[in-house]
Amino acid sequence: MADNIIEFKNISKHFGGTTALNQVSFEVEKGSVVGLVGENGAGKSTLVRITGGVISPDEGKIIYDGQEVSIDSPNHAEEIGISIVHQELPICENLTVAQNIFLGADLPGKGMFPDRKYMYNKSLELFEDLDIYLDPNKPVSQCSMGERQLIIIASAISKNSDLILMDEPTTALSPSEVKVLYEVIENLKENGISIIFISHRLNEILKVSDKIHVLKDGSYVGNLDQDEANEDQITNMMVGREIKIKEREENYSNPDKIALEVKNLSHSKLGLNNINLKLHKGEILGIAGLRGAGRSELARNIIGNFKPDSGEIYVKGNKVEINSPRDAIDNGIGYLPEDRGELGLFEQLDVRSNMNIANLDALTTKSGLVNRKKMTEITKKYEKDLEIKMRSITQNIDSLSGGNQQKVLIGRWLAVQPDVLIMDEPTRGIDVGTKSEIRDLITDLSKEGFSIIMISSEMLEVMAVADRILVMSQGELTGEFSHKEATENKIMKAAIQEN
Amino acid sequence: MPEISAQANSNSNENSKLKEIIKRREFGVFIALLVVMGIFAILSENFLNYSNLISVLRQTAVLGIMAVGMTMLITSNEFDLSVGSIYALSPVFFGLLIKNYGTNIWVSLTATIALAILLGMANGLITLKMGIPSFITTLGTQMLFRGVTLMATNGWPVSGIPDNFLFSILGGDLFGISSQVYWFVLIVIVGYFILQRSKLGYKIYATGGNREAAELSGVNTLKTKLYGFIFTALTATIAGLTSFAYLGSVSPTQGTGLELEVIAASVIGGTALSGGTGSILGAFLGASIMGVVRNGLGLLGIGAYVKQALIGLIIVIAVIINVQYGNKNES
Repeated sequence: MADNIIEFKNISKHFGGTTALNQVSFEVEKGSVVGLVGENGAGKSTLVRITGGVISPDEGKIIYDGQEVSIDSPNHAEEIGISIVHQELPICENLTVAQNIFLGADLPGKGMFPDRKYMYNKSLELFEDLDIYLDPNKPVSQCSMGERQLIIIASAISKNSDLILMDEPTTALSPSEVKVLYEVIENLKENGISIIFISHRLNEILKVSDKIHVLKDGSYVGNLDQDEANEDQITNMMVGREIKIKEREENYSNPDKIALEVKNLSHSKLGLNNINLKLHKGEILGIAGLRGAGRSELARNIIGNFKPDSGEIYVKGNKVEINSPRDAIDNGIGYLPEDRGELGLFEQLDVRSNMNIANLDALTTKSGLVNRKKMTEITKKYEKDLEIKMRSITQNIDSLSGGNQQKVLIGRWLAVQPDVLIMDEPTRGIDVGTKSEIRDLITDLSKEGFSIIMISSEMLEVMAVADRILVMSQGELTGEFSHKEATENKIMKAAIQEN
Repeated sequence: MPEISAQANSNSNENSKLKEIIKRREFGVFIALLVVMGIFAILSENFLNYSNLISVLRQTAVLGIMAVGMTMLITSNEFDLSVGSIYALSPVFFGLLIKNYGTNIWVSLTATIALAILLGMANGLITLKMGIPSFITTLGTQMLFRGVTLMATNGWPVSGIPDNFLFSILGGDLFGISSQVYWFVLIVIVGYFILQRSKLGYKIYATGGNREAAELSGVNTLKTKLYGFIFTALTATIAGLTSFAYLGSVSPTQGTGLELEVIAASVIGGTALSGGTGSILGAFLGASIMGVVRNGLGLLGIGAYVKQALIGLIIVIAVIINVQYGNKNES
């Protein structure tokens, strides 16, 4: 019996001219939880894909449970006991919980007919092992993101996995669901299952991992034991430099001039109740709150993507009618959505088209043709201003890293030059370095006279960047703090306030 | 994903331009076309002569013109199965207006174009306002339009329109080349500018690629898609009128099953059925491949039944090559 469930030995992987992984070696002890951190592009995903048998390494070997293996397909990985819980959950929404758990090459049962009773009972058993309750007959379409994740984990256990890789498992979960996940991880550990846990959120990593391994630019930097690690230390290892969220010093807002005012906005179906807010010119207004508090819904009501039941919107003191995002743009309001992939990116299009899509009117000649030269100029300008890293502006946007994709989307709105820019979780799913670049950028924009609403779940970020902070809970505004008076405690109190 | 460092190599500029052309999806279709043409050139000495190649273009015109509209619509992530019926209905309407009601030929033309826009809007509005998949809507209107055409003609062809200027523009010839060829080329060029250079084109790509994101970027996606439906009806109408003018007669059953060939031409040309990617040049090449195969097999004296089977086979092979080529370049 080996002590380590898996050992990576000098793993290297190249894609074309770039090195994704360079001589990476580390091991995972049996029955332990290991955190794997690194900036975007550090090579975490590549390592996950290699372990899952999606791609094979150019060099190096993997020792699994004491034996050298070459994992050549996802099926093979599963056979030897490796399961992966991906960021995007592969789940069939049209089936029930139990059906999803047993989805796969061999469904339990005789002949053509699956054994439903067995599936039902076995599902309950699995959930019992995890110490959770979920009705196996519940349709997955009615399950929350957290429940879906538990289904995938249960499915992994049903296949007798010894090693589970979790790639950013908490990004889509609410705080209470994250708690459940922690408990499940603890239970898995007790059952002798090893876990590799990948996350951008360092506090999570610190909480669940016995040991933390750090990757940087494809190379292995080192590891820390849980009891000796802290966030600053990990961040230092990840970026090789000290990064703190910079406090903004000056306030550029002009309280005499109101850029945007929302009066009595309600949308009962989305749970929004009587929202009133004012945004001053040049101000950064932070909206804090927990997931599900209705912040994105509020933003999308303001820009006319959803139609509110009641409410009025004033731009620079004038009442305006906004029935679609187009109307919002025409009134000088832009919205950078939270979900980059679903609501922001055009994955089949190149960077240039992605950048200019909201600004086509200004680029069109009388004949209706788009002036590509102008498009190129604008794209090049923001490539420089925002320091977007790319090979060429006609490169497919899909091939950019998350941080650079986000910069392109920010460029999309800067090209429109709106007076008001609503940014919904602008630094979500982005590596630490780019996060601070984007925060600086937001401050710079307010200096230039843009009025900004920044929705963010990262309290420290809101506190550092915003001039004024509103807190939302259950569809209502429950707190307002100036930059000076805001503390984590006060914000949290307002965020969990029951209405 | 590993970040790709910026390339600061300017002396390989020309080289990279060539590479970019080779990497384009259309290049794969172009190679496929050359291969098919090469095979027929070897098998039949009559294939590669000027008059045969021009007649291939003429035979491909109807399919190619319609593929331009279809490519735009599919790129916006909708379908139109009724184009084969519109291809008959519009010229029948035009012919009956002149023949039975003595309407002026230009007035009839205007009315026919208006009808086309109306048919496209009907397809579009039913689909978009009622939230019915366009596949179903246009399957229904396909039968409806065909039925109306048959009712109006009692199943008989419409012919006997006296010689006129419009017909010589639509279906006569110039410098020994049939007008249909000029119309084909013209529609391809106009289509290229609309889809790949105009504001509307960018909106079509955005709408088909990610409708929510397009909407949030201020694109009126409903209007954008509606234009797509109008374009398919218009191109089917133009194709129908050129064919009417060329042949001097229009059959109420013409174009049955044509819609699937039109979709096939688009897809061979690299248009993704899931929307968001499409190319007019690709559609032109795709239609050309189908035209070349049909013509070539004819020259070889291959019987109609075998011909049909072979064309089907070649569609599948062409799409496989195209998809493989595209995948290779994307990774």
